[in-house]
Amino acid sequence: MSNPTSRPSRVPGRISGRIPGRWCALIFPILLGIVGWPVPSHAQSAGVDPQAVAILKRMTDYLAGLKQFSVDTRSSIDAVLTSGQKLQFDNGVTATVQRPNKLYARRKGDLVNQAFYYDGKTLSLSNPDDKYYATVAAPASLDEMLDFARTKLGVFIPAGDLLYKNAFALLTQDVKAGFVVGTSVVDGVRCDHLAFHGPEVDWQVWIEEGEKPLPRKYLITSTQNAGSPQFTILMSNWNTALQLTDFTFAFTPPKGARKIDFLQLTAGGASQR
Amino acid sequence: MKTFVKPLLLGSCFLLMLCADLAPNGKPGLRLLRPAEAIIGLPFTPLSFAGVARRSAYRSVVYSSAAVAAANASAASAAAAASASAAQASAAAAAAQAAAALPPPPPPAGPVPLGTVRAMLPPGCVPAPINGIEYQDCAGTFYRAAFQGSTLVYVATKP
Repeated sequence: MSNPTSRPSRVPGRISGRIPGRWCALIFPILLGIVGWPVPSHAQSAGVDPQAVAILKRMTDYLAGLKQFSVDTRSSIDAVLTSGQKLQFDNGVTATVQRPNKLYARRKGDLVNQAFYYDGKTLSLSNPDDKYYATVAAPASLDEMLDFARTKLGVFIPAGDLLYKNAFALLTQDVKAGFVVGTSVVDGVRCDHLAFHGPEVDWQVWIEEGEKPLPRKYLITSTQNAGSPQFTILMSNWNTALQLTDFTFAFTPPKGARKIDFLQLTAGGASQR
Repeated sequence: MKTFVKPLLLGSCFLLMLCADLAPNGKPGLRLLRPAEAIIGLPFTPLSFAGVARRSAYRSVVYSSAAVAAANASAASAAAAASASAAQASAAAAAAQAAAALPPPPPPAGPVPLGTVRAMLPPGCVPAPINGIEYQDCAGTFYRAAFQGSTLVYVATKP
């Protein structure tokens, strides 16, 4: 501005030369009208696209219909520090599910070697390297067990959301908007990419195209938490033709392992907002 | 004069656009610090974790610190408890109950309050089985292992 050589030369046709002063008085309210006052800014995602719902429902129906399957998952979770700095932790779990009431999950990371057992009667968590395990009586169905583990013990099954028989109803119950983002490729598999918006969380899911509408990726953004931390889980090596002839979901404590307790969660702690 | 007024007006239009854009839609922005959300045993104090289930955004950080109030509560109940196992149970319960509204505990000075949860044992602990239950004797403070969620922790307890 202070350098006169960089100023554009004043030529006819330049905007300030064309618009008479009184136009500004008009432009001002018009612009205001266009911009508007506090209007929700997500106009493009208002409402739930039936196509997105249909693709989602096809996936949840398919998953609910699988009698048994196994899947490898890799997840990462954000933690937000009081300073605002964000950290991310990774985790790998292989899960084997047999409906209606069996689940085995093996978690193996750099630091954690852990197995989760649910056989329809009891739920057990075992850290074989530490030689510790805990066992508690558990509800008789997979759905109830997932609720129990989450609310009473604080144990989360990664992407447990998707395992419920009525996953569709649970996923969509307070969705405010949803749409098909498009087609994308997750781990070499063509997927429909869906995005949903809710009051507390936004979430996205990538669902395999074709005969087997399996979830390949699931991402949750906690929009009401400072820093909007995210949880991402990738699902691969789906085995939907699993033979479980010799597989046992019952837990036998490893030799020399010591029994410990779960610290129980209170209702207040679990429902805290 | 004209050349001077127009940029000014356009500028103010732009500013108003910005303001309109940023104006809160009747909704507060991001929630501020919720101090209860401290996880014991990490070398930092996370404000929050991402929800790992669509329905659990606010249950993402489920344990609070077993802070002073919990420790006092458990100490009181421990004193009243007849048996070691009852004391253990109440200590654990109290620790879990500390759920809300307490900041992370200051580093304990002097005796470790009962119910204190640690991710790792302090150095120099020795196993001390009592009545078939394995405790760790750490310079007179007894710890018992437990799962806090799926995390292995140690709870200061009275054997």
